[in-house]
Amino acid sequence: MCLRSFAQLLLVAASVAAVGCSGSTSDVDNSSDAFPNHRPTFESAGRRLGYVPNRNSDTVSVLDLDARQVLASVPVGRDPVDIDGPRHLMLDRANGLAYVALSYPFSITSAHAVAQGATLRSGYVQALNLLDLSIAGEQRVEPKAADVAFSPASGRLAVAHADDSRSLQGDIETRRSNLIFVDPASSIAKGNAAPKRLPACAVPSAIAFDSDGARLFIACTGEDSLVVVDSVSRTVLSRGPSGPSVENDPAASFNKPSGLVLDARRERLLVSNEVSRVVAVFDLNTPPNLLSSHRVVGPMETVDFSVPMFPVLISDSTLAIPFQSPNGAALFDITSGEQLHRVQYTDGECLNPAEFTVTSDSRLFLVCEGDHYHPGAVVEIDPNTLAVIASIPVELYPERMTIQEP
Amino acid sequence: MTRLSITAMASKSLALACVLGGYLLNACSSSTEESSIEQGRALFDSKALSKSRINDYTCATCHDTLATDPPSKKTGGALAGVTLRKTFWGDQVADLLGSINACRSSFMGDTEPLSATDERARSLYAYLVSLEPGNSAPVAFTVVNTIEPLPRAEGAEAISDAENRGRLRYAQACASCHGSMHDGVGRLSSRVHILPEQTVEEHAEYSRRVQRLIFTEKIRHGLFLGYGGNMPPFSNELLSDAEVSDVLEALGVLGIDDAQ
Repeated sequence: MCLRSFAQLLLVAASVAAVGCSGSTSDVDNSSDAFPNHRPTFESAGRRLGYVPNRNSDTVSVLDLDARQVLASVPVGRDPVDIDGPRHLMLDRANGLAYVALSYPFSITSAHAVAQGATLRSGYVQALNLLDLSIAGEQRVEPKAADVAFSPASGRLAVAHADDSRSLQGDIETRRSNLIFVDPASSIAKGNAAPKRLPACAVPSAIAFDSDGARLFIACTGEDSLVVVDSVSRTVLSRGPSGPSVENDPAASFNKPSGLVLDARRERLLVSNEVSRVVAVFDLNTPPNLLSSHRVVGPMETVDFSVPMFPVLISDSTLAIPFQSPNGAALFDITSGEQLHRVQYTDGECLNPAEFTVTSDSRLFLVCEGDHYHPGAVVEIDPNTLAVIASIPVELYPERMTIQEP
Repeated sequence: MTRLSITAMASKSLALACVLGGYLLNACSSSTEESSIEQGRALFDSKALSKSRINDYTCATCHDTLATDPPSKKTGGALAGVTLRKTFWGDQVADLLGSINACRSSFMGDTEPLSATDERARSLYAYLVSLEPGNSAPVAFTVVNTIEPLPRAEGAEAISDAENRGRLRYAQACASCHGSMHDGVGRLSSRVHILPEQTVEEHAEYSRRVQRLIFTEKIRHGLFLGYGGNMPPFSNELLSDAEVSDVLEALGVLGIDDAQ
């Protein structure tokens, strides 16, 4: 095309554009970005990040564990007024996502609302963009979503529902709430998730996948058992005691599991029991074999009635157990069974210790729930003395922390 | 004409075309922007932001554009500066469009969220930007979760004062939706209760003590926390407990059962 022709064409085009714009009132300026994203972003950039859902604040606090500071606390959830109750967050780095369970603990606060027909509110799992925790998608699950587990190996997600409203039912099958599997979990972000259900346990409180995501372990509080599920065929593989049992003595065998985690290598299972106050260490066979059990011994060799929470193996043989009532922590040699050390924390140091987590470079962190109405904290703990090294305040009722290694 | 002069003339034409085209496109852009703002303004004041046929709300029902002195008693914050804020709904929502969609689904009955590329969303955003600078700080909005019995004023003079304050608060906070007390004149629609009569009638099976709690619950929770309906909640910052008690006094919702 010659230059003159091009100039004429441009004149015509400009005229057409001018006429076109004067005649339209419905065009919108497409040159500017409406609703720019003001969210803070959380690039790892060599940092070790901690993600802490705050159950009564509806936020996730993102911590720079190296700098020992909160980068931001980001609102999550679906409801701008009700407490969504985020409880546990799982990282899916391959897909740039995180998954958080929403439990709606206080969705009905008055007898009047119940009389008007309000009922249990369904839980949700939200898929969040890992970069800024903005919502990528969500999946409705069932009421009282208590815990979420994700297997990076299989891409599979599971949600357990601690639906204690079923616990008065006479029939055990009726008491069991559904486990929900979403496979792959990233389908939540794509909007095409097809959840599958399995009524596996009455009032499950914590779940974890094995190393390849083929089996799911359940702390089945309402049935006082440790349950193993095949997550592919969605069948129950085994049900067994969650701690030490005494033959022909059910009372002495009552454990009531509440916390359940795998060790970093995913070779051993650690189960905290609320009534027997024992942390049981299992192998990962089906059914799991009890390897050792540990109960905190108080000062002067007295029986300690503290309740163990989510423990961690800080070395191949050293088990760290946080406990509540009173606040404290203990170290055990799981080979010899010896209690190596025990400390109590003041309310100011750590009120209601909930979960130990350990980084790949052996730094030990403890989530402190607080009183649920004032901010809780994540504290760094000396792994030898169990003394508090540093405290990072978060928001209301933190329970668990998920660490993203650099 | 030489090839050189033809090229020079063509170059002049090209320059002219570029200047003219640029001017016209710029004017077009400016005109489109104004048009977009006007569309946003119209949407702000229109029920058309929701496709629901039973929507009674506009944005203006709950929001002023500019902050007033004394502060308005509308349930939502003044919107000038809202595009600069980082959180909304008392820090419970982290993006403006999510916040608008929460309003649309909760109060306006439209559960299909607007996307950032939706023409209505873009127009609304352009209008909100035109209100800047305003207040860029998040607006406090503390939800009163637990409903407790609210104490009444004591003594004839104090009760009379409470009624007078309550009538003023009702006019500021309630009348724009519910219309005037007892007859509902000016209310948003026939779906909105005439106060207090229709709400009392709906809860006739409850004692008056409980009815007073129910009024308090409705004011504090709106549709949320299990109550239902589509009324927005009044935060602690908007109405103190004493102000809610004054409104109930003016409405005659005293919580005194016949037997008492």
